[in-house]
Amino acid sequence: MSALLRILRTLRRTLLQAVPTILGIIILNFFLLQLAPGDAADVMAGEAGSATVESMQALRERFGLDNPVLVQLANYLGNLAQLSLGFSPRYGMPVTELIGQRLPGTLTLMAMALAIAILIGLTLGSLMAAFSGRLPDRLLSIFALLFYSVPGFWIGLMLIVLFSVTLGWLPSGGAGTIGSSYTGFAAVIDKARYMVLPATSLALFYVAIYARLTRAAMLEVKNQDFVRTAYAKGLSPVVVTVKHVLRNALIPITTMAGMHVGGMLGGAVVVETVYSWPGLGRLAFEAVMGRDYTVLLGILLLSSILVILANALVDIAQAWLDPRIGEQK
Amino acid sequence: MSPASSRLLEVENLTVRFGAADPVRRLSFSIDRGETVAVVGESGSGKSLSALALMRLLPRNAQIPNGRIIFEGTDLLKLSDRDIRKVRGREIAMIFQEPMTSLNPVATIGNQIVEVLRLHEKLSKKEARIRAIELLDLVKIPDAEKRVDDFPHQLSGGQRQRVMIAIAVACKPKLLIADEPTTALDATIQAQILELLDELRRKLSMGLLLITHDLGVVSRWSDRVVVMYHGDKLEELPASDLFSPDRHPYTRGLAQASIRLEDGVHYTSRTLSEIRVVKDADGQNDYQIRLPVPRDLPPVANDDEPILQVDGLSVTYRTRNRENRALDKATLTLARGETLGIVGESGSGKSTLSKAIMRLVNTESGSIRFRGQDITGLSPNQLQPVRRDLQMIFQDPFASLNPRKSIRDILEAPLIVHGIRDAAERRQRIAETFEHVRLPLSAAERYPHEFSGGQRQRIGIARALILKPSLVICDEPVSALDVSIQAQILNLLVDLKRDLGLSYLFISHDLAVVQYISDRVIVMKDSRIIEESDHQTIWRQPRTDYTRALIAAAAGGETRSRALAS
Amino acid sequence: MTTETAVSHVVSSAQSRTAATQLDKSETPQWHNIKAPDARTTRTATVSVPAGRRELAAFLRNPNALFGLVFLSLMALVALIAPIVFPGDPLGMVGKPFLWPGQDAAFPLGTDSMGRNVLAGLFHGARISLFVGLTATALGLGVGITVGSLAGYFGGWVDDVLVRIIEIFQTLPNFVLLVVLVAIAQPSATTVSVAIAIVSWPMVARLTRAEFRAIREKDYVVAARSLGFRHPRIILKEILPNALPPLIVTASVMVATAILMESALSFMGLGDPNVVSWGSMIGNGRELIRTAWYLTFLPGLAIVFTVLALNLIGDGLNDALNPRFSEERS
Repeated sequence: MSALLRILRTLRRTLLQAVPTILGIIILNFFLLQLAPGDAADVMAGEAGSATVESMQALRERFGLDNPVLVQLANYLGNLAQLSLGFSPRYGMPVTELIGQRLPGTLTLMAMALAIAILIGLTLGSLMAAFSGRLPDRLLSIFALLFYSVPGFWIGLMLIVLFSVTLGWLPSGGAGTIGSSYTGFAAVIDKARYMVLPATSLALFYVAIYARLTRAAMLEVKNQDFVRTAYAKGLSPVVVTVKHVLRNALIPITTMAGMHVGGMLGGAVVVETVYSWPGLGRLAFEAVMGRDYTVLLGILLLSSILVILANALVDIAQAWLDPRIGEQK
Repeated sequence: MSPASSRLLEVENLTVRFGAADPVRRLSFSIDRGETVAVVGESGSGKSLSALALMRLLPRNAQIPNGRIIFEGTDLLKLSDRDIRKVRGREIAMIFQEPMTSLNPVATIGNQIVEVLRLHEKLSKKEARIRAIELLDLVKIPDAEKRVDDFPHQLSGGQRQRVMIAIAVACKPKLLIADEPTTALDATIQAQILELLDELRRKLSMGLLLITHDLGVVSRWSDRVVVMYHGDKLEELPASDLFSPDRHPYTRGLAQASIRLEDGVHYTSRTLSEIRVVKDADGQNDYQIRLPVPRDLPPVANDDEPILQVDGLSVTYRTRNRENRALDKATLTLARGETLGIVGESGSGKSTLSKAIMRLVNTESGSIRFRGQDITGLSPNQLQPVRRDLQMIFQDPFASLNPRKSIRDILEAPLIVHGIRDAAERRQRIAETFEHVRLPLSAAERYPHEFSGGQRQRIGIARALILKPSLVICDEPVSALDVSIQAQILNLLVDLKRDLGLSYLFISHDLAVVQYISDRVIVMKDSRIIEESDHQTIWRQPRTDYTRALIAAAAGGETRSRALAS
Repeated sequence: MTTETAVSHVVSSAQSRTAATQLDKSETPQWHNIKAPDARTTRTATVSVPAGRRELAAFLRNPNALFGLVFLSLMALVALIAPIVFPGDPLGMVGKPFLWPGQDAAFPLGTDSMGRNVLAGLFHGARISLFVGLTATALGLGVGITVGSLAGYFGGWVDDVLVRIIEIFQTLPNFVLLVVLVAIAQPSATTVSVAIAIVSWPMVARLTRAEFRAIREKDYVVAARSLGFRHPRIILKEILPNALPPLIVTASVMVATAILMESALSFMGLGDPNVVSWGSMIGNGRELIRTAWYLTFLPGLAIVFTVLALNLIGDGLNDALNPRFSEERS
């Protein structure tokens, strides 16, 4: 069976399975919104400064807030179907639009961090597995464990102290030089300068995770029978590692990589607040501070969908890596 | 290299060391060109490690402190890593025990053959692919041209072992090492694979080193035999002498303990000899053969009602999108005091049948009558008294005992569950059962990992007996055990049957074992019972082709002579 | 869910590693497929845990794990004696603001912008970190093990429903959900603990489920069923003890993660406002990193070392309980 067919079949299965999950998340989301103290009318009244009982009542009627819960749920679902996540009185714009503005920032940051984490993590993990039990492995393992134990926001602050405050090499926050008129390559460099520290802060934890994971997966695969077959063929250790071990080890690694996308989104929330990075995380932080639950839950819903998409990508990668996945039987 | 020399491999004083232990000690033997030499031994004999040592494929924590491995005049132990890699796969090739896991699951079988061809012979990709297809043809994979792009999981176990052989013989090695090449395969496939190996050996004039525990395989397929026990070579002999009387006592013991279909031994006529190895005063191994006295056995009670009656029993396993009829309308009866043997290959439904009778899986249709009572539809509560009477012995003594419980806990729990409140009575029952299975009482406070495979199987039997059942289902009870242990356990089962008046449903893939222990035999294939006969008729006058094929594969006496004649 | 077992397998294997294990490699060959039963005997001998003495010895022989244990005990002691050594509210002003560490002997680690004693803050911060870490882990383990064992043991529709729920919670990004929950429930030590438990139980459930599914098929469980053991007995006495090793390892990692989460929440101002926490100390100090970086540095160090200690313990436990992976350390 062709690889493409297997991938398509896997994708279809993944997406079908995602449907009930998304529904569950939406409903959970709605009830969390119900649980939140105050409702939109309170918030708007608060924003306006003064409100009478009558005007509040009018507001509630206008937004359907006096309806029974199930009707409100139906309205909520109806709105979602039109891709509307509600309106944020604080920002004066629809939540969808607000999130749309901030999403690219977060995605860039995450993509960058993920690339760093996978690249360095895989390399370190392979090294650790190659030297397992010996000095390089032990040293790297301790470093990995250290990175694994450092809070992202703290390492972020410490990097600022070192690279911005003390050395003055890199900017301490923001996403680009304000009012700059850089174009072309210079603009890219400017962007990159702002991105180095946040992406590194976010990546360190995942470097540790992927390194540990790669080490474990490679050691596991190394003990498999087919690796011994490869050695019996007369292949050199390098060829065996690259052609036989790594590809098989990548299967569990991709699974875990997918499972960490959600975690990385959470990490982005904290790192973005440290670096004033204009992304979803920072928006979430502002929403918490302003008790803007509509925005907050919008972010929760959207980030869940991001996770589902990431899982679909992982499934595709796995179907490509592993011929046993997506077989018809 | 002098062409006159017929010697291919000469192993001298080879020792393999792991830390403080030497699992192989001063092993010496040789192989001539085109010759088949078998290294035979039970588990722990060091035979597999010796094979790995020849290719220098030992685990990293193993050392070879002394010895020489002279292959065509060169000491392999003195070669650089680079040079030994030129020997592996080209001069000496190897196939392994587990065909299911010995191939890379994410590469096509074609590419796995191409890889070794391109490594040792300067072939283009295209040439190598053509050779790969030829090789698949050579090892008799049907439709080689189509299958070349298959992945290992699309092949059966036997086919995968054929692919392994194709990889091994791709560069026409001078020596092929086969480490238990058929142990993981069904009997009918086993014979085919061994036949293929023998044919290739002749075609390519290879030396063949066959590592195995199976004396039947050895006597049939090899020229010379090296017998090993616990790292020591005990003797070397022509394969034809394996069953002759004046051998090393251990070899003799092995030969007597292993049951061969062609010998037609039955439990009513003879006990099996047991080998005991004891250290004498000088710390030397003393090998003793013990033949237990034959016992009087009461005849099977044919008059009264059968203890078990299974009628049209079907089981279907359902997963979300698949249905699998694991048992199809099985009907059988078992008389009191009788042993009913069930033979079949993997996937024939024999284990499902035993689980269905134990009411461990849901049945779809049909009925199970046990001691006159229909137990098919009983609730767990109603089943409780039945369970006391109906017990089971499992295959793998390493998986059937909870590793976190002491033997006393393992034996006491069933008594507690079945309402024996008095601690003294429980102690008494445990002591009795220990006596039955011949375990010292001191074993009670220990944990499963402290016992050997054979002792664990005794504990498993003790657990089945502690509730004093009348019917015991034995699901491959000796398949995971060495020949010498197998004999002990089979003798024990026969004794218990007599002493406790048990009936057995005895499941095994091993025809010789079933032949020995059964009063009646059922043959299963593809979830169905296809044949049933008493223990003599079935071997002499099998009614189905399948049974005939099974018997031929197990006995296979003619196979070799036929192969030699051609 | 097809990759389920593989995933959880790697979860547990991912938690193996590091640590210079002193476990002897014994005589066990590296190829695990050498079917010699005596090799298997040695293997099973090292794997099974009757009284746990061998595991304890292996754990205590591991210098990293021992370091973790000692440091964690020290932290526990600090948390216990904090009210005695530093009576009074650690949030109260006690000295001149912005005293650097070492500047005034009365405040060995200095004071912050409000003149609060940093050392007292660190001592009292240990209380909240350990409280949240332990409470959240206990709750998360309780729920996770219950759900996971029911799903894994019974299978069928029970499994289908529970897996759906686990899936939903695993899809929601942990920290974002945590922020939402705490924001809605109003932060306090208890709500923070419960919220962390809510986001962390699915991982436990998944792991437990995978273990139960694997162990359920073992012959000794089939034997227990054929002997007429009831479900609770099989779950609690036959399966659970054998499923525990990876869960024990997970527990230590969970405490570490919970402490990290609590500190991140406090850092963002979503911690219990009435108690001092390492995270909130960092949060308060962040505006001053240009002038008084020690205010963020010191509490961060406390977090790093505590979390590191827990992770070292986790690795040590894993190496001791799951020696399969330690064998590679030849």
